[in-house]
Amino acid sequence: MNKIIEIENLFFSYNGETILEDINLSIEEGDFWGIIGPNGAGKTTLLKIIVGLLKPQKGKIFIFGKYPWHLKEEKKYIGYIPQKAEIEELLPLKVFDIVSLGRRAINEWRRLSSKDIEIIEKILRELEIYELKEKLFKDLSGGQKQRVLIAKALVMEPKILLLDEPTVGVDLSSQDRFYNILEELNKNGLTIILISHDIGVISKKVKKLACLNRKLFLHGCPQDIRIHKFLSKMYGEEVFFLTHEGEEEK
Amino acid sequence: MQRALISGLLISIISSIIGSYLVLRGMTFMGSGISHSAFGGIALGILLGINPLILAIFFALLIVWFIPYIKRKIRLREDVTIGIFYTTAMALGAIFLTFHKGYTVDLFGYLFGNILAVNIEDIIFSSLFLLVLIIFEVKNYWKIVYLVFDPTSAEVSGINTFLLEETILSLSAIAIVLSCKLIGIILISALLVIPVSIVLPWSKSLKEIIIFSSIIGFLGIFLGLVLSFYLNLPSGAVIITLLTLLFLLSFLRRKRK
Repeated sequence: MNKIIEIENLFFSYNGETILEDINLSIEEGDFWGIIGPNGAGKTTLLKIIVGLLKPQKGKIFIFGKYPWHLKEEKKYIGYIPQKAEIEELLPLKVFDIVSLGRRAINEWRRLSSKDIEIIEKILRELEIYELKEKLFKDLSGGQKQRVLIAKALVMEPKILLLDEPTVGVDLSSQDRFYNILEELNKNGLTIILISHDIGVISKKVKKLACLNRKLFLHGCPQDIRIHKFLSKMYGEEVFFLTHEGEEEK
Repeated sequence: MQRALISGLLISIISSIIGSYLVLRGMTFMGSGISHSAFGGIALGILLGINPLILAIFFALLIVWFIPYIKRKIRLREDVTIGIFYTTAMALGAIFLTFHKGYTVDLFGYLFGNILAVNIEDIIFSSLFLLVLIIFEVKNYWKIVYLVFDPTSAEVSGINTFLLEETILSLSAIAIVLSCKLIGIILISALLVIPVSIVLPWSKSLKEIIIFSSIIGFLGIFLGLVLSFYLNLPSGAVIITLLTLLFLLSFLRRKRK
């Protein structure tokens, strides 16, 4: 398997405060990683370092074999879905126009070709939001909005998808559908990294799980009992049982 | 009057393009900051006998490029730095003017707008600037949409969001100074904000916001100029009062729905 991301002894601090400490992580093609940790654990920071928005003070990080801040063409292969709070809903935008942004970005902002439109419509159908294409983003439900943002990333035909707290504000049934879409995408070869503070569903769906709280404590299969022990320490016993039950269901 | 109307038409389109960006990015205070710091430049221009608008543009550009620099160096919210800088620019303006011994009739016009001050050069310059602005907006339309909608993903996708935003703000600085003669430094931020706020609930794209708010802006300027002419009141003040009335009407209509 090819390594897509390699992180070695990475440190990041902001205004003298250490946010990430000695992070080591290697992500291979076809992986489906869940990175969990409490609020303020440095999850978003780690994601932003991976995509080149922030530069670490110490350590090495490679994505597609390069430093993230040296990426050029390879940026096209990164599908990034930020936290809901970072989306500006005041701007009235139709679903089709939002999804088209991903396609325009990889085509040097040229006018959409008929092939581009075909790809956009195909993805809209796959995510079952084709009927909404003329609707305004602000009028959609939480689950629909999430699928629109995924569609925007998918039309870039990315090799890796990074999602920052994607299920915040999405109701439970839509969350389930959302994770099924991710599982399907992963089966088709897409590498996925998902970060969340909510460990309930994520630990059932991902292939590999990492616990982050400034340091990356443990990583491995979600079934690993050591992870459960760690989580129970980090979140409390209640959560421990919740994830354990999930495992038994399997 | 004819000159003022042509100038009003140009300025309503210019302020809609700029205003829509500032409103959607939550940066309207930057608009006020730019216009008020222009006062320092105008005062210096009057003192030195140089065209005040050139120095006003210089002062406005200074604030646009200096604020992100300060923000990166020290941990301060942007509105705090804007607040410090524009009041300083105005204070400097007041100091410059005390050294000026001549007759300062221009000043009230710059602060509150004066239609009689608009000359043919202003119209030519505004037309050329509008042309540049439209070309820039059309060329970068989808990048701007992306930057407003989802700035983080826009940056990840390879857009130099800092440069794009600073370019838009620099164009805003020029636009605001150009509009000062008609509307005035103190009132221009209202022209940037009110028409966009009126049309925002029923627009379906950035393009529609710009087109509709240009129409509303021009309506306010047209009626305001006619009224100010007959009532012998400062043009800018009448325009803004009318636009605020329109805003209140649209607000009441929305509330009833």
